[in-house]
Amino acid sequence: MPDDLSPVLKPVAEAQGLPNAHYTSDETFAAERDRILFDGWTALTFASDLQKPSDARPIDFLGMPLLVLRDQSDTIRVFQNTCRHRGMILVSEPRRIECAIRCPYHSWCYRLTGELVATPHVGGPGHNTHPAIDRNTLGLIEIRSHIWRDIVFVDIHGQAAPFEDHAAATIARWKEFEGQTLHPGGPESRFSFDVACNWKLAVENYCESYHLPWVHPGLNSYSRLEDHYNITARDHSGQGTQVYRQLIGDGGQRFPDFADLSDKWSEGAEYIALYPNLLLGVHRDQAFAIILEPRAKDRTIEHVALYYADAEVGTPAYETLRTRNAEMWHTVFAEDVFVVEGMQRGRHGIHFDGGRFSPVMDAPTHAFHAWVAGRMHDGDADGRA
Amino acid sequence: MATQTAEPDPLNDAILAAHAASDKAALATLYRKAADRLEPADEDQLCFLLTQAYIFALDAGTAEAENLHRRLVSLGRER
Repeated sequence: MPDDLSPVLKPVAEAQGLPNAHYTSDETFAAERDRILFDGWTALTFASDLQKPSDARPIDFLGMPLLVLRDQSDTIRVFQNTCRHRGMILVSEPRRIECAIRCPYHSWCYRLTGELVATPHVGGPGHNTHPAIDRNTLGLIEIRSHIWRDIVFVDIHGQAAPFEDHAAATIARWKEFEGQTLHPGGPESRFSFDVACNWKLAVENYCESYHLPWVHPGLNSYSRLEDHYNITARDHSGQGTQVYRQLIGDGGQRFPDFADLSDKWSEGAEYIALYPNLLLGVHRDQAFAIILEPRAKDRTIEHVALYYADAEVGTPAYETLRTRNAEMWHTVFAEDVFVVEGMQRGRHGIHFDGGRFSPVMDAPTHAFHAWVAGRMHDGDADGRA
Repeated sequence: MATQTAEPDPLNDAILAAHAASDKAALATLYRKAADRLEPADEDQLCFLLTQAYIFALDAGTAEAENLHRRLVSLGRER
């Protein structure tokens, strides 16, 4: 990684953006995997994708085979999806696992809690134990995980500060929503975009409001640029608006509100990126999360989930309003695709120097660049040396 | 030229069919039946088949797993 990141760390008025290699180089992408995405709390998947006990989902995360499981006591765990015997992938498709995870190769079996419980014929045909094979030391490798706002986060290297410390500023910012149940909508409330861009470009675009009048003109009539404010903090950056308007359906139908919110949220809404790869939005009556799944230096899957304050919104009584809402968000997020893909192509301009930031409008984007630069430089953003 | 044919074995055929169908619960039952028809003296083969039955019962989450585990433990082949 040849680049000097010190210009990124300067104050916003003087700073330059991350160098091109951070978007176009396989070597830098691999370094980011080790220093950022595997070294700290990263959003992996939605807990609501594992609805029932025994649900299991294998996930290939940046080449790392993971297995997310909900056990019979409703605890969600993440394991390395690799048998401790010969390294076989254990689970290849989402499915229910009733009692044991059986390796399809030699049938070593693990409990849903990870313990190795059977090693058939390991001591010869019909002999299922051997002194050299200590089952107590050969359970599945558990990956540190934490669930917050329906998101399963993982700390793959296992060295990060507790999640509550990592996301302390975000949790504090949205303390009025903390602990309130997020109810997923119906099938229309989950969609994704397969985008030809580096994952960071999706963060950069999301967390500033500067582009709204140009890229989202439909929002401009009620979500004017001057009604937005910048948000920057240690673990997140983004934008807020003071003119959120609820969707109103036939007969004046509205989504129910989250409980006990202050006046700030009557017409307020906030949209932040919780670093590194989670985009969040909150409103009085709905929320959303977008998990950015980096697939390559120039490919990202954006997994979108919309949530509501009341389980009743998931019923047919709200289907029309839910569908309108999902279509609205789908349209907004789709409008951003040409921008992030265009910035990806632009990053191949060999004379581009990372670009400059508007000192007024681009502070949230600069904050993210500086966070990335800090992590790539010395990995100290979570208090580690 | 004489041809040699194997004795028909419906249980073996059923095991192969259950493997082809990935029917783990059936495999647990069928391997247990195969074990139960063996002579007691053939302990290694008995334990091989009981192990097969036990593993598929674990995989399928059937109640048979507990009994099969007990049998293997009593034979010193499982802990």
